[in-house]
Amino acid sequence: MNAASGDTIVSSRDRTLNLLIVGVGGQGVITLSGLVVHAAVRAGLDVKQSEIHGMAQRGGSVSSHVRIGRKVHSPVIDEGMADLVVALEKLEALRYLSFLSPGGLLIADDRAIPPLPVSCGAMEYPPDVLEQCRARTGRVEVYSGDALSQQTGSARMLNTCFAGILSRHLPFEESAWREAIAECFAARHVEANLRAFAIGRSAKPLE
Amino acid sequence: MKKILTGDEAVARGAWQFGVRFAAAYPGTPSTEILEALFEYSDVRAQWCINEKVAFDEALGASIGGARALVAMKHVGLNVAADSLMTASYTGVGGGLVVVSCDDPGMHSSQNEQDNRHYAAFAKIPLLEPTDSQECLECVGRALDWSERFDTPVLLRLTTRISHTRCVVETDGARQVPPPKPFVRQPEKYVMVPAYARVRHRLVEKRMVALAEFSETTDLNRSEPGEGDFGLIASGISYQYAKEAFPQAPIFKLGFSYPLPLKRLREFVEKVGRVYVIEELDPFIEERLLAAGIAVRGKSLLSLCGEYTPAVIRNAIHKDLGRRSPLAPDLLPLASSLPPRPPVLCPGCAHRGIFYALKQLNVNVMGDIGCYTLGALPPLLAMDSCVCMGASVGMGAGMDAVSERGRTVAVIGDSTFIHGGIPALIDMAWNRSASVLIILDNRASAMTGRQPTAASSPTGGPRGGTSIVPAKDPGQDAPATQQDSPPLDLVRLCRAAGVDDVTVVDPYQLDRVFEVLRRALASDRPSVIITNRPCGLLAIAERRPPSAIDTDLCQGCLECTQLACPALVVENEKGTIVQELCRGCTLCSQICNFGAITRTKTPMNDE
Repeated sequence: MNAASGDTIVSSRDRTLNLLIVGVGGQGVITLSGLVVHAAVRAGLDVKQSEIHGMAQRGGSVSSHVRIGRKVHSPVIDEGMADLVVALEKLEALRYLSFLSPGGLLIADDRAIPPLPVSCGAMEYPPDVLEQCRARTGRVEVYSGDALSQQTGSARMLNTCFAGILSRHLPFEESAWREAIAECFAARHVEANLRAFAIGRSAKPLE
Repeated sequence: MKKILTGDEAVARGAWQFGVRFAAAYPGTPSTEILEALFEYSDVRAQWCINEKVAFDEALGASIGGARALVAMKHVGLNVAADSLMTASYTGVGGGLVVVSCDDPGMHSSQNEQDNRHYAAFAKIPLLEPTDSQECLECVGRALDWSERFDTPVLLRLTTRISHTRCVVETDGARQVPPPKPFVRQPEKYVMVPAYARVRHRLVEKRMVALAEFSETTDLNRSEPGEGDFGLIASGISYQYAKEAFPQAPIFKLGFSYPLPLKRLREFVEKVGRVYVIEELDPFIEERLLAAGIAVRGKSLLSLCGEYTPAVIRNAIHKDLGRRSPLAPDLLPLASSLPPRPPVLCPGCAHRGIFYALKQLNVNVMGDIGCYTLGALPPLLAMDSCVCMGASVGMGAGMDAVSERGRTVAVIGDSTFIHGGIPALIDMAWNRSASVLIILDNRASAMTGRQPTAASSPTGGPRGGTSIVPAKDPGQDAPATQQDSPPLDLVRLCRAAGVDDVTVVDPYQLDRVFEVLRRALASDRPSVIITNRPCGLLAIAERRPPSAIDTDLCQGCLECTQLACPALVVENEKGTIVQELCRGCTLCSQICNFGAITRTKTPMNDE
């Protein structure tokens, strides 16, 4: 590992790694999950990824379970068992925080996307979402999705930026990720996504 | 070659590999991707059908015609196809016939969580339950072979966590198509009049005996050795959860789970002693074991409702054994009362205005299955029932029959109407109901991924989804022979069904929507209202400039937020429109009491 933090969550292949990716329908949770799955296979590991389609797509809360190891059985992660939770929206970070294991790492975008009860004025978006996350777990990295989007030139590639951020914590060679990107995107989008991945891989968390 | 496939995609791959020549389906979560993946294999004839029964019948016809065939549906779809299934069990097959049922424990996208394993027992046909994508691929081949060998349809049952889980799959097998078996006239096999059916029923019972013996020998049923003071019996996704929860325990894996291999299960239980049956939903396996005098435990400690997880199984068994679960982590304390994030109708959705109007009119709304079921949620709150595909039309007529006139409306989508609403419409007209039926024609099965309908696309085949056409101008009758026109004309269909009062309305013109609705409610004859705007996610949807709120004119009444539009948010106690989300439907400006909302001049960005 030569990346910025070098803080690999699982360096041994003996234990199954549990990764939960959450966000809002349409944000690219599933595409990001696909990158992780392809990179894991490139790295010679077994992997299962499970998500919920259908009603959840209509702007609802979306969660994708990714489990990586020598031999993976269950496609779902139990509460309290995720080594990593990646949240592309901060309210969703707090919603799924109970899945994080004690000592696990939360990676969150600081963006707020108001859910309907908030946008129609019936409820308040909690003003202190990230503080609430930090109060519950010591290991939190927050990134500015807006800043990353500005660097890549498009909010659409934010999920690939987060693949770059995530790559610092997963035991795959960079080449596995690059191959995954080439596999998951149409040829004309590969170059831009490789750039977005590199931007994420060197991104610094907010203080 | 290793590929990453969902269970659904693996079923499609298996169908291709093991020589399926004909595949049919109606879209329904979590089964939809099976047929979508099959469209990638040009040597399989795959097509969307108008409902699951038609899909089943076409697959059965193809099978009797000598081809290997597959039909796929979600669990409740098999209710629609059940009439055919029950007697197809008697006729048996020509080429192998696989019936794929994708159940939805936990009801992630369904109206119930019925356990379709019962259909195997009900119809007296074999049941296969793969536990991951690799097994999905292989089970299709087994099912086809055994369908031909035992002359029976075979039920292949997946659940959401099998259908929608991506796994690594070996896909080395080339396509093998067995030699065609030309159709041979056998009325005593395929014509189920009583005299012939009585004979066939005896054969079905003989087949059951043979299948029960076969179940004892197949390697899909196997005992995996282990250690410890208890054992497990499981099938489907529950097997994976059980392995995760207790990797060391002896486990009997059931891949061919009906009829059960009772002899081998009895041996397993006698050898292991204390045995738990792990199965989501109903005690399908457990009850059969108990009836055979095989002592097992299951539903006394595990729920009949919803999905399991490894922890659910681990905790239940440890509790039953009087032990503390060793892996139970100290959970991070839950955040208190977060705002929920329910699914919502998209910005610019053509359904929104109809539900706003129905709520204002305070009528009773019999609803149906689709995106528009979201009209039941707050703040729209404009749907009073949702039962199953097509039920709205008959329920509207029934409620109207016993209610004050002009109080009942049924709401149904175009695809749902074609699927199951047409017979009820004929009945509504025949029995002179004064009910009002609204067909929300958005040109697609939007909820499942915008598949084409018979009224929106010239074909249900591979390119159907890309050849969806807009609703035609209601004033002009296009010639029926036009090559690119869909076969079904909803207006003429409703008229032919016996409804004279059929009105097409632009759902973005709220005044007109109210006018048409009021007129239909006042009428004492049946009436149909059809909306004509496509799903905003379709390529044919119009792009319009977004609207904006003048904060000086806005008085903060927030009536606009009652439209439940994600593009409309409250800021500083006034409404504001998120420009990137707004699709310019202008409903909000039409209901604004202060003229504060206008369309901007900004041209829309192309998607």
